Amino acid sequence: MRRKTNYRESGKIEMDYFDQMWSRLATLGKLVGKAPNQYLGHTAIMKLTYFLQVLKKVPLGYDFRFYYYGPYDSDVLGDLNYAECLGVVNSEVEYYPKGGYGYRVSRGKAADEIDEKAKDFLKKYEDDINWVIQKFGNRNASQLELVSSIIGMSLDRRKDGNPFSLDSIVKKVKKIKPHFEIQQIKEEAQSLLDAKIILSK
Amino acid sequence: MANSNRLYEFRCPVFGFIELNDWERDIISEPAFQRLRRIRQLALTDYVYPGAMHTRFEHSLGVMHMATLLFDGITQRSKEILENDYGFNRDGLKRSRVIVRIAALLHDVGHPPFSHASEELFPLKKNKGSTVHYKHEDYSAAIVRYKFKSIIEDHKINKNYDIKADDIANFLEGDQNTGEILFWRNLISGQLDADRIDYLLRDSHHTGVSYGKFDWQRLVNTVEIIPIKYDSSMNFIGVNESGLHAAEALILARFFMFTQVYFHKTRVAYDFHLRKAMKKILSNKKLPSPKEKNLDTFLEWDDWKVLGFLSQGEGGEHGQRIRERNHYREIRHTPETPVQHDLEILEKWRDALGKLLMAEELASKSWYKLKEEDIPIITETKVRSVIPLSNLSTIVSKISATKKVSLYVKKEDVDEAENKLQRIGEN
Repeated sequence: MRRKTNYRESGKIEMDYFDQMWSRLATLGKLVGKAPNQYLGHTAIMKLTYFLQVLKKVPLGYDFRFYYYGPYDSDVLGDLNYAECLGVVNSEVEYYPKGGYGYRVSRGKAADEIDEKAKDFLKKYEDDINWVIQKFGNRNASQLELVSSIIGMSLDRRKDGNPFSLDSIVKKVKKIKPHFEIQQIKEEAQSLLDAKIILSK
Repeated sequence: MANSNRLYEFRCPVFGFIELNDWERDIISEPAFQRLRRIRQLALTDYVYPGAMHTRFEHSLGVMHMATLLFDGITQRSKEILENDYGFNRDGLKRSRVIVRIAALLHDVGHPPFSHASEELFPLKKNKGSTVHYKHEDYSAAIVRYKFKSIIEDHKINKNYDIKADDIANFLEGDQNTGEILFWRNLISGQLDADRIDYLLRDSHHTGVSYGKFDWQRLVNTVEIIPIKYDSSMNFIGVNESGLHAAEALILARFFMFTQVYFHKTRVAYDFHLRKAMKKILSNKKLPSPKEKNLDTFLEWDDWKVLGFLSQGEGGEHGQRIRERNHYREIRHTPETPVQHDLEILEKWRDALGKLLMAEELASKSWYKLKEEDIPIITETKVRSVIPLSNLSTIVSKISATKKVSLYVKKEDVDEAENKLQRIGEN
């Protein structure tokens, strides 16, 4: 009797715990491997995973909540931690010349092996992973923080059934992200709208 | 006329005295809060550690107390950042403090019977592109919204703050509509949060296991807001250099408490039996969803109600096992951080055990996460620099995520199971 998890895709397919874990780890490995510089920071990984789930409906089973630093599920970092233990990814701290630090996560030598375990999942969602990388892979953490907040705000608005208003989304984002300029938020929101990544209806 | 500024003291085995005002006392007098007296903090952990009989009630008071200490420490040391980056003035901070206290007090009102043990009985929901179980936070937010609305919004002390039940619920849910107050959410849910600090100290106290103790006073005296320039610039809650080892001890305490208490093989077995027994008892095999119309029914479910069913012989085979303390026995487990070879062995164990395998339980936890959850440490030198705890502490950096899988068989099948496993030569 294998342990069944809460993971359901369209209410039809039930995967067991390990299937879900391989899918998640393989997705993380793919994201960092396909990134323009072959590595990503933690913010980028969190946000790209969020985009995969909310924009492309890739069933990763994460439960994103909002913190002041944007959409977040600690399971993503937990999986990243385990991915590192298994050698799916490598991670190193990077200190910036002007102060501060970040993490540089790259594809590890065991990643191919995990890809093999999750090959059906990857085959099904590879286009979505490519789309997310193509649209957002070259954005820096600050831009991704802003984009994910606008997308999250827009999705919440649709869920609540409130009419679309770019201004109200901009105002709400500004409130939780005071370090962004209004103009910058407005331009980003407009470009997401133009690209039909957020919808006005 | 009663003095609304009056303070009440509650005795706490961990912190000594915890103070509440009239408003907070009225909140805890609500039936939905009193229910927490009937929700044990650690489910049936007393089957292993007999002292673990404490409840969510005292934990909730403790979290409120600790969140206040952390809040006060931060506002004392990081006033300038709070003013400049978030626009908090004295009144803004006063209101934030009230919200943090009430949110901390109410953060667990949505727990099901026996706390985390029955969380898998929450129904499924669609959330942000995925289907996941509801979490107790969803129930807490709904209960605050609908059951605490009047006591929060209409209380005379609230005339000074105009706090809505939605403010507290949004804060607990992590809703983007929370606004700038969202910054404080990390005091309830983060690497260095009041919930974690309280449960480690309290569970340690009641189980009699010393692993969970650490120098929390030092944390409170060194906590501050630390601006970090990653590839973007953001503010995080961290500690100054003097709190480095206290922060390190907190992470280690959590690691030890999970591996030694929360993931104890017998405790894990009883979580399994409880879940199965409750599934039998519940009419739909699951708890009601946190919709307004279901909340009264949900709140009726507490440990007493479940124990009542169990004492009447309900709960099927698993209810009987709980009554007779005849749990499934762990026959094998993987290492705490299994690598692929270990998981291949696990497959062989499963195949060898066949029908003897009664339960397969996963103990999964990541002890220390980097980036948003790495605790930043700021030096006390003239030019202050920030270094993540994971880079200062060799021990912390070496703690790996736990993904331990345990296999269980019936007590009477242990010998046969051992024979089967020895036949495949994997131990």
